[in-house]
Amino acid sequence: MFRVMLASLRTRRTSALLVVTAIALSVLMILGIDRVRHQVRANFASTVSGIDLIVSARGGPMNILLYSVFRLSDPTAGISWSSVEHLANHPDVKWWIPIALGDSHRGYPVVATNDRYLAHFRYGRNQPLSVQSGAWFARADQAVLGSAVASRLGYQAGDSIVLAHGASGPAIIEHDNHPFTVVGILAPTGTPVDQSVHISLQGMAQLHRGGAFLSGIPPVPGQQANKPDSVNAVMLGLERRTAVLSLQRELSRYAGEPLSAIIPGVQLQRLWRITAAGENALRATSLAVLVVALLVLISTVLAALEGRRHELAVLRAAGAGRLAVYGLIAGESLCLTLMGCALGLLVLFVGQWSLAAVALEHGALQLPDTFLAVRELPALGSILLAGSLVGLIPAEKAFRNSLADGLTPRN
Amino acid sequence: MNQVLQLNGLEYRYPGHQNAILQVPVLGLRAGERVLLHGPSGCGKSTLLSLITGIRPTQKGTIEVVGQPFSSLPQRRRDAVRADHMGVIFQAFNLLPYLSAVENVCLSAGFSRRRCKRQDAHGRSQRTVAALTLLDRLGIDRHSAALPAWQLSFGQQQRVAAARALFGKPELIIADEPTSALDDDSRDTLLNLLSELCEQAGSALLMVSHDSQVAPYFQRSIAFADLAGGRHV
Repeated sequence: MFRVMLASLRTRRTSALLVVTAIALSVLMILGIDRVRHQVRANFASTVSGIDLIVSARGGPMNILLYSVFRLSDPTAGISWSSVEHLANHPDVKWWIPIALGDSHRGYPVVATNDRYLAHFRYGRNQPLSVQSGAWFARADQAVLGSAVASRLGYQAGDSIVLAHGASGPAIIEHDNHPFTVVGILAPTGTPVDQSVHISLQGMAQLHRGGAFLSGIPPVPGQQANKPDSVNAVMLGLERRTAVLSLQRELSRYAGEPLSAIIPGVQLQRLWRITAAGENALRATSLAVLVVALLVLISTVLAALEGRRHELAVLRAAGAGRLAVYGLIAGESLCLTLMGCALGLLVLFVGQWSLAAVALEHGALQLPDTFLAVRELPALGSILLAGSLVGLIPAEKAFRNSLADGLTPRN
Repeated sequence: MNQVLQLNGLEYRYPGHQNAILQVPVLGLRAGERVLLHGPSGCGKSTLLSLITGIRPTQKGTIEVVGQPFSSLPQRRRDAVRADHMGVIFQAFNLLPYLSAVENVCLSAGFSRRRCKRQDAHGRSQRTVAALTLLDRLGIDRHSAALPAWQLSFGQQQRVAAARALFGKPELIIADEPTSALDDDSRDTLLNLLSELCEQAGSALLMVSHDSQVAPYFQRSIAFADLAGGRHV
């Protein structure tokens, strides 16, 4: 019967191909959206994987997470260097990374930090940053570029760049009296690090003549030029992760100035709860596409039945019962669905394979390299089940046709 | 179990209609017997064949096939009895056009283990050999047997249909106007072969035709109009 089904299907290959394409598109949408969602979450989680706490001036926790790590929001006011030193000397703190933000270069954010950034920042599965070419900055007028910045703007070590005041938008004030020299380019990470320009805190302090510009206060003459007086945030790694909550509480009561300490993983979970509504809307859309594809499947198989009356009469006369007719017609639906799923997966795989480099460079998004993930099996299984279940409708119709036709269908 | 087919008190009317379009008080076929039913088109021959093959359920009366109470069996069992004991030849559109002639013959085998056994064809390759032998006896050579069915001439297609009906030596062959679209030569060829092979296989043949000229190939010839009178046993 299987051979009969395939041979029969081959005679209707044009409409079969259209149905398969419709199903493939819906599979592509459903799995594609799920994979991007999963991958975005994995990338975000990967970016903060090593950080136990982020300390910033008091502000909304979500805002702190978004600006400090993902550079998706405006930084809060700075925290003073004495607070940073308090954190650095805290017995629970294993490592600390200060970051100061607020400048940009052609739309890419500038991150002012120190050597600890290279030494302690971890992404993904505990991977350290590495300098792909050149070296980490050693002087106040040197800059290290994230891989995407370097490749999209075409910079190499030795190039000179000018930073602009303001994190985004058109550059109003350019620090063109303080050009920086590119000394190194980082290896790609698939995190916002790729999209950042890294300079030293001293470099930024010099830019703003003491760094007071950071907090929006005009520069005060006579301040020590090489010492930053404030940073926007400090990323902390703790000696023991179990100390996270107590340190968070302790810092919220810090006497020196009002601070907020956030746990990035917890904030990410809250972020995903917020974005869930949008994701659900996308998922509902892709589900609707699947329903349309299944309707196309039913109507195509049903429409073909009229022309298959003789075919079915021959099979019925040869002894085909209800089971065989069901097997033939519902099997055909299952077969079309199966091919649709396979085609969808294949296109998805080829798509993510060919777009991987572009997505990493332009969107800092590491695309998955899997053909099929275990977590996708229930979805695919449901699609196949739905495909064969809707096949029962034309199958029953075919059987009833054959009963109505009797032995010989009228022409 | 001498009777292959036995009809008693058969009546059929379309839903909502008062008059029966078909009345067969009694009709029987003995094993190996060849019977022609002739009558004009539209007289209910097709309905009768739909009932005898069990595709339509019987409304009134009984049909026995090889001693089994065919008309009182459920649909599924009637389908199985048809697969095991009947071969069917249509007026046209006998073959699945996308299969080869030999694959069309093997369709019967796919639905009935009994017929495979009776043809001494158990595996797939044995079935093909048996089908080829049968086709050869019906004048379809190996080359034609491998062609897709739609490439065969109409006469050849009818002979392939006969081979499929005969595969596995079923007790009863039902033929619905198999020759009405053939020229005289092809008609004679087909009926000669069909009679001969039915005899060898021991199959009874019930053929319906509007053409009473073919009567010489049959042991009995009944006008459809006379069936209602019940003068035939």
